Amino acid sequence: MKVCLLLLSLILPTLAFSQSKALVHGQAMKLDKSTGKMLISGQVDGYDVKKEMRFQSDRLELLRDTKTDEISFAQVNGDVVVTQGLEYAVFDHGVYQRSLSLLTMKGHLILGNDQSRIEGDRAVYDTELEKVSLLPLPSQQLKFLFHQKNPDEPDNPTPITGVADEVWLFRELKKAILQGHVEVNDPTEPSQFKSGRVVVFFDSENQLDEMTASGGFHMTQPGRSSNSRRAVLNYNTRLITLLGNAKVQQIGEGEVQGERVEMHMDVKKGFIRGKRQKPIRIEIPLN
Amino acid sequence: MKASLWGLVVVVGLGLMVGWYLRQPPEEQVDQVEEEKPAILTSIEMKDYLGSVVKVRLFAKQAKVFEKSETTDLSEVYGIIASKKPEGLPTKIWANQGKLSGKTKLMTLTGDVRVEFPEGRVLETEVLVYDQQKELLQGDQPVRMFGRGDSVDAAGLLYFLKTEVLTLTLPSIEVTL
Repeated sequence: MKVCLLLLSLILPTLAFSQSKALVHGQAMKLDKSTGKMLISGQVDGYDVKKEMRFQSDRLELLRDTKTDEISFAQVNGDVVVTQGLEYAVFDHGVYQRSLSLLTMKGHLILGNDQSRIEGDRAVYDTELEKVSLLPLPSQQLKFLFHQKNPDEPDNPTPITGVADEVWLFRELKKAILQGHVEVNDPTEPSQFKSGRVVVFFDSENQLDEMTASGGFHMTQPGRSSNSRRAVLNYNTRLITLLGNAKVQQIGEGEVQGERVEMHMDVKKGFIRGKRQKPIRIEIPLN
Repeated sequence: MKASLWGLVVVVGLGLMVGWYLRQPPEEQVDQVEEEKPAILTSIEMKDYLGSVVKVRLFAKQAKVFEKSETTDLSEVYGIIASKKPEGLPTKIWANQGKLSGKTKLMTLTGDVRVEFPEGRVLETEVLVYDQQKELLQGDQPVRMFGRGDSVDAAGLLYFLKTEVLTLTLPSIEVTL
């Protein structure tokens, strides 16, 4: 999730005030003095010692401002890989424009770290707002994978996968917003939920901390079906809170309705707790 | 009888001498080419024109002109290459020595070669060849270029004056971000 910043701080001079430098190697460097454009080609390999970031590509093009000498434009092409520690970004084509404070990455885009991974077609990074927006190819969806804590085996977190029409990443906030036809699959329960919009919060280890779904929430688990307007899934407590017109049907335990319903993620542990003034309605089948 | 014997001895003796002489290797003939003495000029200025426009101005502290071989050895060279653009600034070159070939139209600059490009970048190398006909600078010795936020070490260079495109091979670049 942090990875977009890697590219920025390496090739791209958003942090120019820090005067960081990158060492770049290639097979050839072409400098067009009439335009001021510098093109480095052939197994381009760059490294920023200060940030311990490495980047590789087929070509790197840099353009400096004629007055300030600041890099005003940068472009990378062909099998671009940016790494910093466990974080990485892979794509085909990247463009940075200082005047717009935007970095655009395109083509077979993968952003990730040791705990998460998002696949799509393009991403736009707003360097002022430190926000990344990821989009898929037309008529396709972004694929994502996050890891959640495994209470039984803390060292072996379990994956959660899914798709969405659009993803926003906020590095500093350790937050992501999944938007549009969001589907999340948890193979451990197993469970699946769909929602219009999901806000994801990560902990310090980049593992799933919490998900907040809005714009309708529909979850299916073996023996249980849940619906509500909104929902909060807490991966520390392993509790799900349904909010707004909540309705849960669980085989053998009947149906629960209310404005707020809490239940365990693990269906076997059952539920259920209703809160607020409005009483919850529970229907228990009498066999 | 005695006389004919003596005659035979003399004939055989002469024959042996002739044979010995003929067997001797020929004496080596050493070509003695006199070294060409150059005409020596001091504080010279040379100009290369393109039409009526001065394309290159070249200054040297001393020039040794070898007429037969059509070469000129220069020392303490300073050159000014005019820009292709009407109002463009020139490219300046310095070198300890230079060798001009009238036949090939090549000028080889050696020793602390320094090129100052109009935009402020400086290039340093030990050997640089200026091809007057192709209008290019070429070098296959290690090159260092710095200025404008970049510092480059490379294995060689090629600079087309017409297009103002500089190519450095196997570059190692320090880019200020």
